[in-house]
Amino acid sequence: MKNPENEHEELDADTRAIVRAAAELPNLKPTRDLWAGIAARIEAPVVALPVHRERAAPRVAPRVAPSWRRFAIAASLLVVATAGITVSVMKPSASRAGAVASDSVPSPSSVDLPSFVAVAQPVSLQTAEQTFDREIAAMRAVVDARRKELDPATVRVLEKNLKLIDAAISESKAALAKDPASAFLTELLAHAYDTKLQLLRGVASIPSGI
Amino acid sequence: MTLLSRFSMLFAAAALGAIPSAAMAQRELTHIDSTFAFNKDSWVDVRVISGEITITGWTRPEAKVYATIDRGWIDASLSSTRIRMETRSDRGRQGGARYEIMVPIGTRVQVSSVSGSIRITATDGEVEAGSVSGAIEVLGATDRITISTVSGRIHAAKLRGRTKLHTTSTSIEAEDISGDLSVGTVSGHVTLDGVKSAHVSAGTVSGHVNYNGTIDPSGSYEFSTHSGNVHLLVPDNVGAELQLQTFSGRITSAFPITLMPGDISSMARHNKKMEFTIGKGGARISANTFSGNITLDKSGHSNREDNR
Repeated sequence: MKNPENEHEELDADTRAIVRAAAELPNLKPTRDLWAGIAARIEAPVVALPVHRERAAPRVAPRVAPSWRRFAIAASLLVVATAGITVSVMKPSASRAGAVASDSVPSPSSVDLPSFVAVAQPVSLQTAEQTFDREIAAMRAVVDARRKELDPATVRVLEKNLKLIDAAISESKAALAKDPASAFLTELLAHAYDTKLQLLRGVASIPSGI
Repeated sequence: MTLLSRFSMLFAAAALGAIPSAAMAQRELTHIDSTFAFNKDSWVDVRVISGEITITGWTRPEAKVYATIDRGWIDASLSSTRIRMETRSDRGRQGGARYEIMVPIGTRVQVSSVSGSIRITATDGEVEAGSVSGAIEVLGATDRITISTVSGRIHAAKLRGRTKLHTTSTSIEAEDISGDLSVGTVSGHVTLDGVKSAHVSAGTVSGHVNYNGTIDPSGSYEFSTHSGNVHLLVPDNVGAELQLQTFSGRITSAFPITLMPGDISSMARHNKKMEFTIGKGGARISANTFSGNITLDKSGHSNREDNR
Protein backbone atom coordinates (compact mmCIF):
# COMPACT_ATOMS: atom_id res chain seq x y z
CA MET A 1 0.00 0.00 0.00
CA LYS A 2 1.40 3.34 -0.99
CA ASN A 3 1.84 6.14 1.45
CA PRO A 4 -0.72 8.87 0.64
CA GLU A 5 1.94 11.53 1.11
CA ASN A 6 4.19 9.83 -1.42
CA GLU A 7 1.29 9.56 -3.80
CA HIS A 8 0.60 13.24 -3.40
CA GLU A 9 4.22 14.09 -4.09
CA GLU A 10 4.20 11.90 -7.18
CA LEU A 11 1.08 13.56 -8.46
CA ASP A 12 2.51 16.96 -7.69
CA ALA A 13 5.64 16.08 -9.62
CA ASP A 14 3.57 14.82 -12.53
CA THR A 15 1.53 17.99 -12.54
CA ARG A 16 4.64 20.15 -12.59
CA ALA A 17 6.02 18.04 -15.43
CA ILE A 18 2.83 18.55 -17.39
CA VAL A 19 2.93 22.30 -16.87
CA ARG A 20 6.55 22.38 -18.02
CA ALA A 21 5.80 20.22 -21.04
CA ALA A 22 2.72 22.25 -21.92
CA ALA A 23 4.75 25.44 -21.90
CA GLU A 24 7.11 23.93 -24.45
CA LEU A 25 4.36 22.68 -26.76
CA PRO A 26 4.13 24.38 -30.13
CA ASN A 27 0.93 26.08 -31.16
CA LEU A 28 -1.37 23.45 -32.56
CA LYS A 29 -2.82 24.08 -35.96
CA PRO A 30 -5.70 22.10 -37.42
CA THR A 31 -4.77 19.89 -40.33
CA ARG A 32 -7.57 21.41 -42.36
CA ASP A 33 -8.43 25.04 -42.48
CA LEU A 34 -12.03 24.61 -41.39
CA TRP A 35 -12.19 25.98 -37.92
CA ALA A 36 -11.74 29.60 -38.93
CA GLY A 37 -14.80 29.35 -41.10
CA ILE A 38 -16.78 27.53 -38.45
CA ALA A 39 -15.87 29.96 -35.71
CA ALA A 40 -16.61 32.97 -37.83
CA ARG A 41 -19.99 31.66 -38.83
CA ILE A 42 -20.98 30.34 -35.46
CA GLU A 43 -20.49 33.80 -34.05
CA ALA A 44 -22.19 35.45 -36.99
CA PRO A 45 -24.60 38.20 -36.01
CA VAL A 46 -28.22 37.31 -35.63
CA VAL A 47 -30.30 38.82 -38.35
CA ALA A 48 -33.85 39.68 -37.53
CA LEU A 49 -36.23 39.96 -40.38
CA PRO A 50 -38.12 43.22 -40.25
CA VAL A 51 -41.48 42.66 -38.71
CA HIS A 52 -44.37 44.77 -39.85
CA ARG A 53 -46.25 45.32 -36.66
CA GLU A 54 -49.91 45.01 -37.31
CA ARG A 55 -51.52 47.77 -35.38
CA ALA A 56 -54.04 46.49 -32.95
CA ALA A 57 -57.13 48.56 -32.71
CA PRO A 58 -57.22 50.73 -29.61
CA ARG A 59 -59.34 49.42 -26.78
CA VAL A 60 -61.96 52.05 -27.18
CA ALA A 61 -65.34 51.97 -28.77
CA PRO A 62 -64.87 52.18 -32.52
CA ARG A 63 -66.01 55.31 -34.23
CA VAL A 64 -67.53 55.11 -37.63
CA ALA A 65 -65.89 57.51 -39.99
CA PRO A 66 -68.13 59.70 -42.05
CA SER A 67 -68.78 58.26 -45.43
CA TRP A 68 -66.89 61.03 -47.21
CA ARG A 69 -63.85 60.31 -45.14
CA ARG A 70 -64.03 56.67 -46.01
CA PHE A 71 -64.27 57.58 -49.64
CA ALA A 72 -61.29 59.84 -49.30
CA ILE A 73 -59.34 57.14 -47.57
CA ALA A 74 -60.31 54.63 -50.21
CA ALA A 75 -59.32 57.07 -52.94
CA SER A 76 -56.02 57.81 -51.33
CA LEU A 77 -55.39 54.10 -51.03
CA LEU A 78 -56.03 53.68 -54.70
CA VAL A 79 -53.63 56.51 -55.44
CA VAL A 80 -51.05 54.92 -53.21
CA ALA A 81 -51.74 51.56 -54.80
CA THR A 82 -51.36 52.90 -58.27
CA ALA A 83 -48.28 54.85 -57.35
CA GLY A 84 -46.85 51.81 -55.65
CA ILE A 85 -47.42 49.61 -58.64
CA THR A 86 -46.11 52.27 -61.01
CA VAL A 87 -43.01 52.85 -59.00
CA SER A 88 -42.43 49.12 -58.69
CA VAL A 89 -42.81 48.54 -62.38
CA MET A 90 -41.20 51.67 -63.76
CA LYS A 91 -38.56 52.35 -61.18
CA PRO A 92 -37.79 49.21 -59.29
CA SER A 93 -34.60 50.63 -57.85
CA ALA A 94 -36.37 53.74 -56.61
CA SER A 95 -39.07 51.60 -55.11
CA ARG A 96 -36.53 49.56 -53.25
CA ALA A 97 -34.78 52.67 -52.04
CA GLY A 98 -38.03 54.03 -50.75
CA ALA A 99 -38.77 50.82 -49.00
CA VAL A 100 -35.62 51.12 -46.96
CA ALA A 101 -36.90 54.27 -45.38
CA SER A 102 -40.11 52.57 -44.37
CA ASP A 103 -38.33 49.67 -42.82
CA SER A 104 -40.44 47.81 -40.28
CA VAL A 105 -42.84 50.70 -39.86
CA PRO A 106 -45.51 50.27 -42.46
CA SER A 107 -47.26 53.21 -43.91
CA PRO A 108 -50.78 53.59 -42.62
CA SER A 109 -52.08 52.13 -45.81
CA SER A 110 -49.76 49.21 -46.13
CA VAL A 111 -51.55 46.99 -43.65
CA ASP A 112 -54.96 47.40 -45.15
CA LEU A 113 -54.08 47.57 -48.79
CA PRO A 114 -55.07 44.73 -51.05
CA SER A 115 -52.27 42.28 -51.58
CA PHE A 116 -51.60 43.44 -55.14
CA VAL A 117 -50.51 46.83 -53.85
CA ALA A 118 -47.32 45.71 -52.29
CA VAL A 119 -45.93 43.71 -55.15
CA ALA A 120 -42.40 44.73 -54.27
CA GLN A 121 -40.98 43.30 -51.09
CA PRO A 122 -39.32 45.85 -48.88
CA VAL A 123 -35.65 45.94 -49.52
CA SER A 124 -34.93 45.51 -45.85
CA LEU A 125 -36.70 42.18 -45.93
CA GLN A 126 -34.81 41.23 -49.05
CA THR A 127 -31.58 42.32 -47.46
CA ALA A 128 -32.32 40.27 -44.38
CA GLU A 129 -33.12 37.26 -46.51
CA GLN A 130 -29.94 37.77 -48.46
CA THR A 131 -27.98 37.93 -45.25
CA PHE A 132 -29.58 34.73 -44.04
CA ASP A 133 -28.94 33.10 -47.41
CA ARG A 134 -25.33 34.19 -47.32
CA GLU A 135 -24.81 32.88 -43.81
CA ILE A 136 -26.58 29.64 -44.59
CA ALA A 137 -24.54 29.16 -47.76
CA ALA A 138 -21.33 29.74 -45.87
CA MET A 139 -22.29 27.32 -43.11
CA ARG A 140 -23.48 24.84 -45.72
CA ALA A 141 -20.06 25.03 -47.34
CA VAL A 142 -18.45 24.19 -44.01
CA VAL A 143 -20.78 21.22 -43.56
CA ASP A 144 -20.20 20.05 -47.12
CA ALA A 145 -16.46 20.25 -46.61
CA ARG A 146 -16.86 18.07 -43.53
CA ARG A 147 -19.28 15.66 -45.15
CA LYS A 148 -16.77 12.83 -45.39
CA GLU A 149 -15.91 13.20 -41.73
CA LEU A 150 -19.51 12.82 -40.65
CA ASP A 151 -21.36 9.60 -40.19
CA PRO A 152 -23.60 8.90 -43.22
CA ALA A 153 -26.58 8.50 -40.91
CA THR A 154 -25.96 11.97 -39.49
CA VAL A 155 -25.73 13.39 -43.00
CA ARG A 156 -29.02 11.71 -43.92
CA VAL A 157 -30.71 13.21 -40.86
CA LEU A 158 -29.30 16.61 -41.79
CA GLU A 159 -30.51 16.43 -45.37
CA LYS A 160 -33.94 15.19 -44.41
CA ASN A 161 -34.44 18.01 -41.93
CA LEU A 162 -33.00 20.64 -44.23
CA LYS A 163 -35.62 19.62 -46.79
CA LEU A 164 -38.33 20.07 -44.19
CA ILE A 165 -37.07 23.52 -43.31
CA ASP A 166 -36.68 24.49 -46.95
CA ALA A 167 -40.27 23.46 -47.55
CA ALA A 168 -41.32 25.62 -44.58
CA ILE A 169 -39.33 28.54 -45.99
CA SER A 170 -40.92 28.10 -49.41
CA GLU A 171 -44.43 27.95 -47.97
CA SER A 172 -43.83 31.01 -45.83
CA LYS A 173 -42.38 32.92 -48.76
CA ALA A 174 -45.28 32.02 -51.02
CA ALA A 175 -47.76 33.16 -48.41
CA LEU A 176 -45.77 36.29 -47.70
CA ALA A 177 -45.72 37.16 -51.39
CA LYS A 178 -49.50 37.35 -51.23
CA ASP A 179 -49.55 39.23 -47.95
CA PRO A 180 -46.26 41.14 -47.66
CA ALA A 181 -47.40 43.16 -44.68
CA SER A 182 -48.03 40.14 -42.50
CA ALA A 183 -45.97 40.28 -39.33
CA PHE A 184 -47.05 36.74 -38.60
CA LEU A 185 -45.73 35.33 -41.87
CA THR A 186 -42.56 37.37 -41.59
CA GLU A 187 -41.94 35.93 -38.17
CA LEU A 188 -42.58 32.41 -39.40
CA LEU A 189 -40.13 32.96 -42.25
CA ALA A 190 -37.53 34.40 -39.91
CA HIS A 191 -38.00 31.47 -37.57
CA ALA A 192 -37.57 28.97 -40.39
CA TYR A 193 -34.40 30.69 -41.58
CA ASP A 194 -33.04 30.76 -38.06
CA THR A 195 -33.87 27.08 -37.54
CA LYS A 196 -31.99 26.20 -40.71
CA LEU A 197 -28.99 28.24 -39.68
CA GLN A 198 -28.96 26.72 -36.19
CA LEU A 199 -29.18 23.21 -37.61
CA LEU A 200 -26.25 23.78 -39.93
CA ARG A 201 -24.26 25.38 -37.13
CA GLY A 202 -24.98 22.42 -34.90
CA VAL A 203 -23.83 19.90 -37.49
CA ALA A 204 -20.78 21.98 -38.35
CA SER A 205 -19.81 21.88 -34.68
CA ILE A 206 -19.92 18.09 -34.37
CA PRO A 207 -16.44 16.77 -33.68
CA SER A 208 -14.68 14.95 -36.50
CA GLY A 209 -15.26 11.28 -37.09
CA ILE A 210 -18.87 11.35 -35.99
CA MET B 1 1.50 8.37 -26.28
CA THR B 2 1.19 11.93 -25.06
CA LEU B 3 2.34 13.07 -21.66
CA LEU B 4 -1.22 13.89 -20.74
CA SER B 5 -2.41 10.42 -21.65
CA ARG B 6 0.36 8.87 -19.59
CA PHE B 7 -0.59 11.14 -16.74
CA SER B 8 -4.21 10.14 -17.05
CA MET B 9 -3.30 6.50 -16.90
CA LEU B 10 -0.97 6.99 -13.98
CA PHE B 11 -3.58 9.02 -12.18
CA ALA B 12 -6.22 6.44 -12.88
CA ALA B 13 -4.00 3.61 -11.79
CA ALA B 14 -3.11 5.46 -8.60
CA ALA B 15 -6.70 6.23 -7.84
CA LEU B 16 -7.92 2.78 -8.57
CA GLY B 17 -6.76 0.84 -5.61
CA ALA B 18 -8.60 -2.19 -6.85
CA ILE B 19 -6.63 -2.26 -10.05
CA PRO B 20 -3.43 -4.28 -9.92
CA SER B 21 -0.10 -2.75 -10.72
CA ALA B 22 -0.36 -4.16 -14.23
CA ALA B 23 -3.08 -1.56 -14.77
CA MET B 24 -0.31 0.76 -15.84
CA ALA B 25 -0.43 -1.00 -19.17
CA GLN B 26 -2.82 0.39 -21.69
CA ARG B 27 -4.87 -2.75 -22.11
CA GLU B 28 -5.62 -2.89 -18.41
CA LEU B 29 -7.71 0.25 -18.70
CA THR B 30 -10.26 -1.57 -20.73
CA HIS B 31 -11.81 -2.37 -17.40
CA ILE B 32 -12.31 -0.15 -14.35
CA ASP B 33 -14.07 -1.15 -11.17
CA SER B 34 -13.43 1.15 -8.26
CA THR B 35 -15.06 2.91 -5.35
CA PHE B 36 -13.47 6.00 -3.81
CA ALA B 37 -14.24 9.10 -1.75
CA PHE B 38 -15.97 11.76 -3.83
CA ASN B 39 -17.19 15.22 -2.89
CA LYS B 40 -20.79 15.94 -3.76
CA ASP B 41 -20.01 19.35 -5.23
CA SER B 42 -17.59 17.81 -7.69
CA TRP B 43 -18.15 16.88 -11.29
CA VAL B 44 -18.25 14.05 -13.75
CA ASP B 45 -17.09 14.50 -17.33
CA VAL B 46 -17.41 11.35 -19.40
CA ARG B 47 -17.61 10.51 -23.09
CA VAL B 48 -18.09 7.46 -25.24
CA ILE B 49 -18.44 6.87 -28.96
CA SER B 50 -20.85 3.96 -28.72
CA GLY B 51 -22.24 1.93 -25.89
CA GLU B 52 -23.98 3.06 -22.77
CA ILE B 53 -23.49 5.57 -19.97
CA THR B 54 -25.45 5.29 -16.75
CA ILE B 55 -24.93 7.80 -13.97
CA THR B 56 -26.95 7.56 -10.79
CA GLY B 57 -27.00 9.70 -7.69
CA TRP B 58 -26.82 8.20 -4.24
CA THR B 59 -26.48 9.46 -0.69
CA ARG B 60 -23.00 8.11 -0.01
CA PRO B 61 -20.02 10.50 -0.03
CA GLU B 62 -18.20 8.35 -2.52
CA ALA B 63 -18.21 7.40 -6.17
CA LYS B 64 -18.36 4.00 -7.69
CA VAL B 65 -17.10 3.60 -11.23
CA TYR B 66 -17.51 0.54 -13.36
CA ALA B 67 -16.38 0.81 -16.95
CA THR B 68 -15.60 -1.58 -19.75
CA ILE B 69 -14.86 -1.27 -23.44
CA ASP B 70 -15.00 -3.97 -26.07
CA ARG B 71 -12.13 -2.65 -28.16
CA GLY B 72 -9.87 0.31 -27.49
CA TRP B 73 -9.19 1.69 -24.06
CA ILE B 74 -10.48 4.13 -21.54
CA ASP B 75 -8.53 7.28 -20.79
CA ALA B 76 -9.58 7.86 -17.20
CA SER B 77 -8.76 10.42 -14.58
CA LEU B 78 -10.38 9.79 -11.23
CA SER B 79 -10.06 11.85 -8.08
CA SER B 80 -12.15 12.97 -5.14
CA THR B 81 -13.26 16.07 -7.05
CA ARG B 82 -13.50 14.89 -10.62
CA ILE B 83 -14.24 11.84 -12.69
CA ARG B 84 -13.13 12.10 -16.27
CA MET B 85 -13.32 9.23 -18.70
CA GLU B 86 -13.00 9.16 -22.45
CA THR B 87 -12.70 6.25 -24.84
CA ARG B 88 -9.74 5.89 -27.18
CA SER B 89 -9.43 3.74 -30.25
CA ASP B 90 -7.08 0.84 -30.69
CA ARG B 91 -5.43 1.07 -34.10
CA GLY B 92 -8.26 3.15 -35.38
CA ARG B 93 -11.01 0.93 -34.08
CA GLN B 94 -13.15 1.26 -31.05
CA GLY B 95 -15.83 -0.96 -29.59
CA GLY B 96 -18.80 -0.18 -27.45
CA ALA B 97 -18.12 1.08 -23.95
CA ARG B 98 -20.21 0.73 -20.86
CA TYR B 99 -19.95 3.15 -17.95
CA GLU B 100 -21.88 2.71 -14.74
CA ILE B 101 -21.17 5.50 -12.31
CA MET B 102 -22.65 6.21 -8.90
CA VAL B 103 -22.03 9.67 -7.47
CA PRO B 104 -23.22 11.70 -4.50
CA ILE B 105 -26.40 13.65 -5.04
CA GLY B 106 -25.57 17.15 -6.23
CA THR B 107 -22.72 16.14 -8.48
CA ARG B 108 -22.41 18.13 -11.66
CA VAL B 109 -22.55 15.93 -14.74
CA GLN B 110 -21.20 16.58 -18.21
CA VAL B 111 -21.61 13.67 -20.59
CA SER B 112 -21.53 13.07 -24.32
CA SER B 113 -21.69 10.24 -26.80
CA VAL B 114 -21.86 9.66 -30.49
CA SER B 115 -24.24 6.71 -30.69
CA GLY B 116 -24.20 5.59 -27.11
CA SER B 117 -27.25 5.94 -24.92
CA ILE B 118 -27.11 8.13 -21.83
CA ARG B 119 -29.15 7.74 -18.68
CA ILE B 120 -28.73 10.09 -15.73
CA THR B 121 -30.86 9.46 -12.68
CA ALA B 122 -31.27 11.29 -9.38
CA THR B 123 -28.03 13.22 -9.51
CA ASP B 124 -30.00 16.37 -8.63
CA GLY B 125 -27.25 18.62 -9.90
CA GLU B 126 -26.34 20.45 -13.07
CA VAL B 127 -26.46 18.30 -16.19
CA GLU B 128 -25.11 18.85 -19.65
CA ALA B 129 -25.73 15.87 -21.91
CA GLY B 130 -25.25 15.59 -25.65
CA SER B 131 -25.35 12.84 -28.21
CA VAL B 132 -25.47 12.55 -31.95
CA SER B 133 -27.73 9.52 -32.29
CA GLY B 134 -27.92 8.07 -28.83
CA ALA B 135 -31.03 8.39 -26.69
CA ILE B 136 -30.76 10.55 -23.59
CA GLU B 137 -32.82 10.21 -20.45
CA VAL B 138 -32.39 12.51 -17.48
CA LEU B 139 -34.51 11.93 -14.41
CA GLY B 140 -33.87 14.26 -11.50
CA ALA B 141 -31.56 17.20 -12.10
CA THR B 142 -31.39 20.81 -10.96
CA ASP B 143 -29.85 24.17 -11.73
CA ARG B 144 -28.90 24.28 -15.39
CA ILE B 145 -29.92 21.33 -17.50
CA THR B 146 -28.99 21.16 -21.17
CA ILE B 147 -29.76 18.13 -23.28
CA SER B 148 -29.17 18.00 -27.01
CA THR B 149 -29.04 15.38 -29.74
CA VAL B 150 -29.16 15.20 -33.50
CA SER B 151 -31.31 12.09 -33.81
CA GLY B 152 -31.39 10.63 -30.35
CA ARG B 153 -34.65 10.61 -28.46
CA ILE B 154 -34.85 12.86 -25.38
CA HIS B 155 -36.79 12.03 -22.25
CA ALA B 156 -36.52 14.24 -19.20
CA ALA B 157 -38.39 14.30 -15.90
CA LYS B 158 -38.16 15.84 -12.46
CA LEU B 159 -36.04 18.76 -13.56
CA ARG B 160 -35.77 21.90 -11.43
CA GLY B 161 -33.96 24.81 -12.98
CA ARG B 162 -33.28 26.31 -16.36
CA THR B 163 -33.82 23.53 -18.85
CA LYS B 164 -32.93 23.44 -22.54
CA LEU B 165 -33.90 20.41 -24.60
CA HIS B 166 -32.99 20.37 -28.26
CA THR B 167 -32.86 17.76 -30.96
CA THR B 168 -33.08 17.68 -34.71
CA SER B 169 -35.13 14.74 -35.83
CA THR B 170 -36.69 12.97 -32.91
CA SER B 171 -39.25 13.60 -30.27
CA ILE B 172 -38.81 15.26 -26.93
CA GLU B 173 -40.78 14.16 -23.90
CA ALA B 174 -40.54 16.05 -20.64
CA GLU B 175 -42.61 15.76 -17.52
CA ASP B 176 -42.63 17.23 -14.05
CA ILE B 177 -40.53 20.25 -14.98
CA SER B 178 -40.07 23.41 -12.91
CA GLY B 179 -38.17 26.50 -13.98
CA ASP B 180 -37.60 28.12 -17.34
CA LEU B 181 -37.98 25.65 -20.17
CA SER B 182 -36.79 25.90 -23.77
CA VAL B 183 -37.56 23.03 -26.12
CA GLY B 184 -36.86 22.72 -29.82
CA THR B 185 -36.78 20.13 -32.56
CA VAL B 186 -37.06 20.18 -36.33
CA SER B 187 -39.00 17.07 -37.24
CA GLY B 188 -39.94 15.58 -33.91
CA HIS B 189 -42.87 16.00 -31.60
CA VAL B 190 -42.71 17.90 -28.33
CA THR B 191 -44.68 16.56 -25.38
CA LEU B 192 -44.55 18.53 -22.16
CA ASP B 193 -46.51 17.18 -19.23
CA GLY B 194 -46.80 18.42 -15.67
CA VAL B 195 -44.91 21.62 -16.33
CA LYS B 196 -44.75 24.29 -13.62
CA SER B 197 -42.74 27.01 -15.26
CA ALA B 198 -43.12 30.72 -15.64
CA HIS B 199 -41.36 30.82 -18.97
CA VAL B 200 -41.83 28.14 -21.60
CA SER B 201 -40.75 28.19 -25.21
CA ALA B 202 -41.39 25.16 -27.41
CA GLY B 203 -41.05 24.87 -31.15
CA THR B 204 -40.84 22.36 -33.94
CA VAL B 205 -41.07 22.56 -37.70
CA SER B 206 -43.05 19.50 -38.70
CA GLY B 207 -43.91 17.91 -35.38
CA HIS B 208 -46.71 18.54 -32.93
CA VAL B 209 -46.47 20.42 -29.65
CA ASN B 210 -48.46 19.21 -26.66
CA TYR B 211 -48.38 21.24 -23.45
CA ASN B 212 -49.97 20.28 -20.19
CA GLY B 213 -49.05 22.46 -17.26
CA THR B 214 -49.77 25.35 -15.02
CA ILE B 215 -49.79 28.96 -16.11
CA ASP B 216 -47.95 31.47 -13.94
CA PRO B 217 -49.85 34.79 -13.78
CA SER B 218 -46.68 36.67 -14.69
CA GLY B 219 -45.35 34.05 -17.04
CA SER B 220 -44.87 33.87 -20.79
CA TYR B 221 -45.53 30.84 -22.94
CA GLU B 222 -44.62 30.57 -26.59
CA PHE B 223 -45.40 27.64 -28.85
CA SER B 224 -44.71 27.37 -32.54
CA THR B 225 -44.76 24.86 -35.35
CA HIS B 226 -44.82 25.08 -39.08
CA SER B 227 -47.03 22.17 -40.03
CA GLY B 228 -47.68 20.41 -36.73
CA ASN B 229 -50.56 20.94 -34.37
CA VAL B 230 -50.35 22.82 -31.09
CA HIS B 231 -52.39 21.52 -28.20
CA LEU B 232 -52.47 23.43 -24.94
CA LEU B 233 -54.01 21.95 -21.82
CA VAL B 234 -54.23 24.53 -19.05
CA PRO B 235 -56.14 24.84 -15.77
CA ASP B 236 -59.70 26.05 -16.19
CA ASN B 237 -59.15 28.90 -13.73
CA VAL B 238 -56.22 30.29 -15.68
CA GLY B 239 -55.84 34.01 -16.28
CA ALA B 240 -54.05 34.83 -19.47
CA GLU B 241 -53.89 36.93 -22.56
CA LEU B 242 -53.72 34.71 -25.58
CA GLN B 243 -52.59 35.23 -29.12
CA LEU B 244 -53.33 32.24 -31.33
CA GLN B 245 -52.58 32.37 -35.01
CA THR B 246 -52.51 29.90 -37.88
CA PHE B 247 -52.25 30.57 -41.57
CA SER B 248 -54.21 27.61 -42.88
CA GLY B 249 -55.12 25.50 -39.86
CA ARG B 250 -57.96 25.68 -37.36
CA ILE B 251 -58.26 27.29 -33.95
CA THR B 252 -60.37 25.62 -31.29
CA SER B 253 -60.85 26.78 -27.71
CA ALA B 254 -62.61 25.09 -24.82
CA PHE B 255 -62.64 28.43 -23.04
CA PRO B 256 -65.46 30.82 -23.76
CA ILE B 257 -64.04 33.66 -25.74
CA THR B 258 -65.38 37.09 -25.04
CA LEU B 259 -63.88 39.57 -27.38
CA MET B 260 -63.35 42.94 -25.82
CA PRO B 261 -62.99 46.16 -27.75
CA GLY B 262 -59.56 45.98 -29.25
CA ASP B 263 -59.39 42.20 -29.20
CA ILE B 264 -58.71 40.71 -32.56
CA SER B 265 -60.54 37.85 -34.15
CA SER B 266 -60.03 36.97 -37.76
CA MET B 267 -61.29 33.61 -38.86
CA ALA B 268 -60.80 34.08 -42.55
CA ARG B 269 -59.89 31.08 -44.66
CA HIS B 270 -56.27 32.10 -44.42
CA ASN B 271 -54.47 33.73 -41.57
CA LYS B 272 -56.79 32.95 -38.69
CA LYS B 273 -55.92 34.96 -35.64
CA MET B 274 -57.41 35.29 -32.21
CA GLU B 275 -56.29 37.60 -29.46
CA PHE B 276 -58.36 37.41 -26.34
CA THR B 277 -58.26 37.29 -22.58
CA ILE B 278 -59.42 34.50 -20.32
CA GLY B 279 -59.97 34.91 -16.61
CA LYS B 280 -58.31 37.98 -15.23
CA GLY B 281 -55.53 37.93 -17.78
CA GLY B 282 -51.94 38.19 -16.67
CA ALA B 283 -49.88 35.49 -18.32
CA ARG B 284 -49.04 35.80 -21.98
CA ILE B 285 -49.62 32.75 -24.13
CA SER B 286 -48.90 32.67 -27.83
CA ALA B 287 -49.21 29.83 -30.29
CA ASN B 288 -48.24 30.23 -33.92
CA THR B 289 -48.34 27.71 -36.73
CA PHE B 290 -48.39 27.93 -40.48
CA SER B 291 -50.63 25.01 -41.35
CA GLY B 292 -51.22 23.24 -38.07
CA ASN B 293 -54.28 23.39 -35.86
CA ILE B 294 -54.31 25.07 -32.47
CA THR B 295 -56.40 23.63 -29.68
CA LEU B 296 -56.84 25.21 -26.27
CA ASP B 297 -58.27 22.83 -23.68
CA LYS B 298 -59.02 22.88 -19.99
CA SER B 299 -57.21 20.45 -17.74
CA GLY B 300 -59.44 17.48 -17.10
CA HIS B 301 -61.68 18.35 -20.00
CA SER B 302 -59.48 17.43 -22.88
CA ASN B 303 -61.04 17.11 -26.30
CA ARG B 304 -57.74 17.21 -28.02
CA GLU B 305 -56.79 15.52 -31.20
CA ASP B 306 -54.33 12.77 -30.65
CA ASN B 307 -51.08 14.47 -31.51
CA ARG B 308 -48.84 11.77 -30.21
